[in-house]
Amino acid sequence: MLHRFLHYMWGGLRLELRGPHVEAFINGAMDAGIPLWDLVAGEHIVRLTLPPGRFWELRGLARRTHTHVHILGRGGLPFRLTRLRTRYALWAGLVLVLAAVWWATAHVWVVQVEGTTYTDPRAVLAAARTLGLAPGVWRDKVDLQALQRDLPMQVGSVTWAAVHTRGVRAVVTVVEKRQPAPVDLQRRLDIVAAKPGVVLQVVALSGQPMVKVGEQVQRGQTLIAGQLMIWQGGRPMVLPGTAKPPRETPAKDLPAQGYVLAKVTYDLRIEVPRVHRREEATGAATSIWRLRWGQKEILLGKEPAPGPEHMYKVRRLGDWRIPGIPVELQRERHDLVKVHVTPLPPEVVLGEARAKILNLLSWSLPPGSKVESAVAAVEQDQGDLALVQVHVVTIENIGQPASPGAAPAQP
Amino acid sequence: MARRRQRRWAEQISQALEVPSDALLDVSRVTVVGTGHVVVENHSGLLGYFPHQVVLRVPEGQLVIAGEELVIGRIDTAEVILTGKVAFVRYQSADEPQ
Repeated sequence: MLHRFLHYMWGGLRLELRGPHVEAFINGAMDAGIPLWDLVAGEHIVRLTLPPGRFWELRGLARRTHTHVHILGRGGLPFRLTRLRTRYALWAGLVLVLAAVWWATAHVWVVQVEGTTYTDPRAVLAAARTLGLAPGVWRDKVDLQALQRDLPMQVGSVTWAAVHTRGVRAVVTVVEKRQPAPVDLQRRLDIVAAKPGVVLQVVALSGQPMVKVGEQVQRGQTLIAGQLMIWQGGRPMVLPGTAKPPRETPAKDLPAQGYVLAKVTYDLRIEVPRVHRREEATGAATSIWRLRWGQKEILLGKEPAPGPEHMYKVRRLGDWRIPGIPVELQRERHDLVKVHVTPLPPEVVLGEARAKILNLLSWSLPPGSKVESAVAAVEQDQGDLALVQVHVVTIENIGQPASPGAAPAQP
Repeated sequence: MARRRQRRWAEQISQALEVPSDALLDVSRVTVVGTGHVVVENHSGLLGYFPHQVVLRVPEGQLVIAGEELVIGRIDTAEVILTGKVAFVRYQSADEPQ
């Protein structure tokens, strides 16, 4: 099908070959790189088609093979166009049609809005119109970046917008703002300990504090209960300067609010290098080839063995594959490098371990947390590596909301 | 003699590597689709062309394609595409009469 189309595009001369050595003529044309198609044989006659531009190359060949060549006809797009060359009105119409198609496809004719639920799409369309996107505008004149940036500012309920043009269609995709779910003021919500620690400060904005300063709390322990406590029988009469008795009767449930600062300790371990390695190129290198097919592998060349204080850095230089065959030829270059190993001072090792641990810990600490101390000590030597234990003490808010009876979320 | 040995080695390598023979050996490849379509790759030229028979030179000798209303859809140095009512396709040595 593709060849037929190409032959039509090239055009072709239909020839009739007559003579005793027609096959030799065809072989000669093939060797000259002349494409031939639609060959039909008769008695010492062959009819075939070839590109019109190659016809004159056949004269010598016809003479050598004693073949008489007769042109039967011609066809294809080039000859058809030659016939149409003087029809100026047709060409003008074609140019006009092409220009009209180009003009029509260079405009935006449809603007669609996607992603709206409670926002009126007409509000988005109106905002887009003020920003230069409306049916009938030139597509290249629409500033998509500015539209995406300014549309959320024009429509109050939209928080993000993206605009894509697909042909003559522009699609404005928006994401609407979502209101946070209102807090159920009738539901009990406690503040519990997210991790164990020693309480330093309890601030209860609503609810009843359940722990005291200096108390050791465990994970999941209730810190501030979501209950309004009252005195049974009304406000007690106390002498000035004496403490009021605690409120012990729950009056109603409510969501507890507040925070509990506590001293939290972490014992964390990390492996850090005890030595510094520096590689120095020696300039020596060897190349080997690997031939692989399926699960098998043949090494072409000897894999080098490095001496003491040396190692080889392997680089793959290239792969050769034959499409459709599971055979791969791979070339590797092995560069010999000398490795200089320098032991690191203990304080450097410990400092690096401490810095890494604090960096890791900073991702999991709540905002406003402070690191009070971080003490590192080598726990175990493992050759070039050291297992370091870091004891970290932080002051942080350990309270997190949880329904009564529910386990606190993992910190 | 040397050529025959080279060919044997190539055959052994293609068998060991489980590679199709036509990738390593100088052999023709003939694809017959039903009775109406034949594609011959790696041919060396046209020896005879008649309405009922096409003879091609191939590395193995000669390839005879017989049938009716045989039309060569396209021919170049790489392949020949033949259509018509194909009756049979046969290899024969170069000195065998057609």
